[in-house]
Amino acid sequence: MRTAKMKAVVAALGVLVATHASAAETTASCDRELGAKVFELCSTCHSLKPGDAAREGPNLRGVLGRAAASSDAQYRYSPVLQASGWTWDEATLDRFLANPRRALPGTTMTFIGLKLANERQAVICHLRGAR
Amino acid sequence: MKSRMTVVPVKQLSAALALLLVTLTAPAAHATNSGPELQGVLRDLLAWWPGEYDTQPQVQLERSLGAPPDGEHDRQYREFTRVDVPHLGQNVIYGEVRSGGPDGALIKGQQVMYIITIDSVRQVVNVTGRRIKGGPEFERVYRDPEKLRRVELDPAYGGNCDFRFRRYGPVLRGVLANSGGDNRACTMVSRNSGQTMTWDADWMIGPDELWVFDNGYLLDPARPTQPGRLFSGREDMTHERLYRIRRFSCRSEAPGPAAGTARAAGSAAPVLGDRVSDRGGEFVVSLPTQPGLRARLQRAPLPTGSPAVLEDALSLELLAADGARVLAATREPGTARSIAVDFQQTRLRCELPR
Repeated sequence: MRTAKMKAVVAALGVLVATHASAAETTASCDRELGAKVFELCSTCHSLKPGDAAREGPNLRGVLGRAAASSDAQYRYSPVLQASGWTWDEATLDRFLANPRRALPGTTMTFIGLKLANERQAVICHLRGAR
Repeated sequence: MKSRMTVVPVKQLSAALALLLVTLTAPAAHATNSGPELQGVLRDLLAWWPGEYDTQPQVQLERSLGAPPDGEHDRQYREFTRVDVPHLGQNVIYGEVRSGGPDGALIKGQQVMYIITIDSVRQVVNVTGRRIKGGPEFERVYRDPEKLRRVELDPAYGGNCDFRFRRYGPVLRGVLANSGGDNRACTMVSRNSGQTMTWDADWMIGPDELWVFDNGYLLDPARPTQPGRLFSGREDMTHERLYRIRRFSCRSEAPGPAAGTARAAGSAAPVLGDRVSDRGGEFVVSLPTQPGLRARLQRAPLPTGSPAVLEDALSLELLAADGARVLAATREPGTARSIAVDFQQTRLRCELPR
């Protein structure tokens, strides 16, 4: 009985360690340099500088964690984005950035998308850094 | 009197001979990119271009027959109207683009005045697209003459790229070029970010179709001789095929009650849908026994019996309330001005306004 408990504790610890290692790995693979480089594709339409007005798209500073279509009260978001109910977390950003018009038909964002997962992750990392 | 009779025909003959001589020695009226041909391009551009367009037939066809390498094209709606804005030019067309269809959201930066002129030096019809200042506030500005008078071009965007239109067989084709240059693509510096972008665009306009290819590349300063990375448009270089919309009025001609209302003999049939787009427009049809049915009007290149043949056809379908089951359907040539389908005791008819 005691051995069984010990095994369970060891297994749980194992899971904990693995999860922690995975999180550490994600942080380690956060390629800020690549993120900044890839974000140049976005920057003709989006600024990350504090106080910058919307361009074709809204200012994306602090976008991670926010409800979609909520960061700029002056900006005219598309109805489909307003109705999406999305929160801009890593999963929704990853999905949207892969192919915006496929992820959200009717979006007014004309960006073609990022096919490579590492580029999307790098951009998300870059956005996270701009808080 | 007699002498006058003989003099007049001689004068007429001389005039006719002179005219013949001029005709024979002058260049042919439609010589390649000659002045008369360019006048013809301008005339056809002004006649063909204005109107409403939708990619819906392309999207539907790709969904049923297979998409290009880059995937299905997006549903897009474009509207162009010739406008009277003498402060901007003599021949000007205003255009807007909506994402997702006629009721979709306006795409920011896509409210454009197209100023059309003949460039006799380059032997093209120049179309210079310029964004307007104020954007959304001027949505469908053509409806408001007072607002039109106030329209200004946005100095922050464009002005250095022109579409050069020429006739190519049955269509007019415009390729984007730097103003004052002869490069095929157009290069500009973003005033937002200072980045250099290149736009490669190619439009084709016919009497019923507008094909748009519009790719934007961001120059990598480390590789200035390369075109840069595609950020807007399509990798497979295919065109958005926009089809002209015609608006139909659709009625029920039921001998009995239809659309939930009884109709007295001789009274006008109830209108079920007014200004229904023939590019996938839908309207509700409620029969006494089956409420909430839908009807769809569709003009598109539709498959025939042969997989290799598509024909321009107009169809009218009556759909079950779930929208999936077709209860009745009929098909006419694409250019038909009216179409009707019968179901039970009801006849649905859609026709163009006379």
